[in-house]
Amino acid sequence: MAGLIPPSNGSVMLSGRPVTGTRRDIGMMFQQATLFPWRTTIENVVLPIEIRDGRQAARAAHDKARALLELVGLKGFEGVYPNELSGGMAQRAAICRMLVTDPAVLLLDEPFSALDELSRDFMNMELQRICREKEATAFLVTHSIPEAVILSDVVYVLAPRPGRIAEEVVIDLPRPRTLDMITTPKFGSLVERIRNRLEVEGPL
Amino acid sequence: MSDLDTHAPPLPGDNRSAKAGAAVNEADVSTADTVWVEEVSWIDRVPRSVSMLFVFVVFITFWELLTRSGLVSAIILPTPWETLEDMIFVGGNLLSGGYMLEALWITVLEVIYGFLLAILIGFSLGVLVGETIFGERAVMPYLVAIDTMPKVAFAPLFVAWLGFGISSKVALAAFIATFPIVVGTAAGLHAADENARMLFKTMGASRWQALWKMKLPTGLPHIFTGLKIGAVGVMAGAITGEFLGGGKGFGELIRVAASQLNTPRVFSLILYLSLVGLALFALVVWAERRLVFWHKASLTRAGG
Repeated sequence: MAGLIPPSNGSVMLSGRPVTGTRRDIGMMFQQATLFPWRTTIENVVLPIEIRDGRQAARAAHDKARALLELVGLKGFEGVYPNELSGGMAQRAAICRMLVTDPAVLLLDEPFSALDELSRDFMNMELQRICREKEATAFLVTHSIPEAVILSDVVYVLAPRPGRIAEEVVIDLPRPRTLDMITTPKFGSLVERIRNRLEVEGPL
Repeated sequence: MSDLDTHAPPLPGDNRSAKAGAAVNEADVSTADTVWVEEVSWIDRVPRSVSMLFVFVVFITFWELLTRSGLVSAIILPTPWETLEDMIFVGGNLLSGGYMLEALWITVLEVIYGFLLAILIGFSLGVLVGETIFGERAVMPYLVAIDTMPKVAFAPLFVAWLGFGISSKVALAAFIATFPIVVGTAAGLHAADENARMLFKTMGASRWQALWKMKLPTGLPHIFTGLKIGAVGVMAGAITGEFLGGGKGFGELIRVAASQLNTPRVFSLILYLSLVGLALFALVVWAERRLVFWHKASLTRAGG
């Protein structure tokens, strides 16, 4: 979907145009924060702009990057090098780097799976807040069913051999979601439904 | 946790039972029995300067005894004192700008030119081999083949091609130092992880941008490892070149002193020469600290 790997068949359409390579309106984030240690936090955040529009534009984007860092609670860490950041802080900086180009779609590949349980919950709530404030569409790939349910409007359950969408589950929990919802019966039944579906489809 | 631990007094020296006992019932066991420290051998606690001095003294004493015992002829192995006397003489000559300083300068020039040439060629070849598939497939095998050759054996060729002047020594020095730099650069370019590559791809970075902004900085620690090995090799290359190809450098002084069986002179010349090598190495380490400031492992290694 990010235009990184050519599709085996079918096509990806975004805002009416097919994706045939990497595009500016797609922001992507991986399991690891992948910040570069020779750049300060803010220099890491403006990196996509530096790559696309050069150093001048990157310098001009510093104010925007500062605002984003404030949004994710990293105010005061702009000039710090990444090895002084904790795992969660680094991931938040990576979120800023993804958002700095104002992408229409966010592609998140298990963004918080390297974090511990508590930070992960916290980051998920942060992600929800950021998406609301930025009015961004996000695709999140995850191995955690509760994570999928708590964050999503729609969960697509993927099945292996051949890789395909096995089921579409609409999550009609009210927004904004809170961590308390995890203990509600409704949440439990949704998780159970997805889990059963995955078990029917067999091991990955 | 057993009752035994709490009631029986912990055996001295058995730290585990003392700890377990404290966990169960702290009142029974006084803190003095539960606090224990990792034992560090006294030899590991000696400060670095003292231990270095100690090894130096042991070495000199051994050397002195060996020369006094008469087991080794004084012509072959001079006493430490003779060597020190000669070092003072050579040092005086160097400081007063005598003929030795001229020779040293020639060797230093060979080393500098050789190293710069090696960096230029080694880095370019390293980028070719590390960045392009063509380089990896077609050029790397030849580089490995040449690297396995005894490079010193090329010295007569360089002399034949470039004459007895400084250039043949520069060529040999650069020849020896190039390969570690090629390998270091190529390895460094492969050091960037898959995520970083993907990230640059999603940002739409050109190959050039990915190379300059991601792969080269990531690979700097590897490149500096190559430079350090190269810095040692370039010295050996310059001196070997002077041994085999004459000239007016420090190697020639060593050769002449050795042919006159002036072993104290040989020793002191080698020691002064090692200072040049040390300075070059220190220069590389200094540059590494400045450029690879984020790489903590490299900092501690360099500090050692």
